[in-house]
Amino acid sequence: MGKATEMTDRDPLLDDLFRQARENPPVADSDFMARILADAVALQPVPRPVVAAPARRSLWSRLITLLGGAAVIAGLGSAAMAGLVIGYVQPAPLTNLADSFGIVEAGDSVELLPGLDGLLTEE
Amino acid sequence: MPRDSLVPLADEALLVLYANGDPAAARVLTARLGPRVLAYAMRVLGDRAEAEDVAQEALVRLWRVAPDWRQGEAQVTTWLYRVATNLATDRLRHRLRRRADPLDDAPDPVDSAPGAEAGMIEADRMAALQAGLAALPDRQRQAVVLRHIEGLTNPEIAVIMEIGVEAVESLTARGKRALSAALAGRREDLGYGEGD
Repeated sequence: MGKATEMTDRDPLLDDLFRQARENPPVADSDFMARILADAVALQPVPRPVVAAPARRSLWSRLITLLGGAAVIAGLGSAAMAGLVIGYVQPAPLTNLADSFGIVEAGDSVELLPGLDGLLTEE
Repeated sequence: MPRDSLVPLADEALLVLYANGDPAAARVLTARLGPRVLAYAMRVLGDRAEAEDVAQEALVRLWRVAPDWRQGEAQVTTWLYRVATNLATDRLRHRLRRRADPLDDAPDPVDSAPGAEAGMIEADRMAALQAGLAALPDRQRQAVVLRHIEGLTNPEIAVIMEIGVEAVESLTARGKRALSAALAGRREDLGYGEGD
């Protein structure tokens, strides 16, 4: 049963009544509309506040955390600076102490670049 | 969001906005769906008070399901018609059980939009149609209203009534034949001449 049946069942009077019914639907009164709007408002979900995603951490930030925090980094930096100063200044008490342990300096200086002195003396 | 800018949106998009807390979406959806589901319920039940209860309850269920609405699975109107159909069927069954009660009042006639002068004949015609619909078995009435007054397709009606498309075709065809037979004797009475 399909379109063929619908075609044989066509009734102009009924079709006209259906058309009028479509064009003139029952009217929803204002009380009903107010009730259903009140329901809609009462049952509407409350919007959730927008929460910012956690900021992406920089490489330095992650490195500091990895090494144990800012205080540890400061300690490491201080120790490195102290080592540089001591190595450069070579204070007498420290060199005496090193001598007493038998630590002998290999030489005062080492020339890593050849000078021009040899060339000058030949002339 | 301003209400006017929401009007062109589809029901499904409006329902998403509603679920996100947009108050304008609530107003637009209510104005769009409320009269539609009420009209359907009134055609099926033939009683304004009962139809308003059914329409209101169907919409309450829609508001409740809105946050969990699965987009693309069903049309909002199809879903709403199905809920309204089930609620109306419950009412009709309840009415059948009460039918033994002699004090049970008859349903109010469905009142359509008021016309001016031509409204008299039109009101008579609508009353005759409603009386004819009321005389149909419940499922035939639902199918005929959905097909010929609400303008839905047979596959949509099949989803709403939870039956096959062929069953829908059968229900609407039998319903139309019964209506034609019921109204045949009233042609002139309703202002239709022999030639009409």
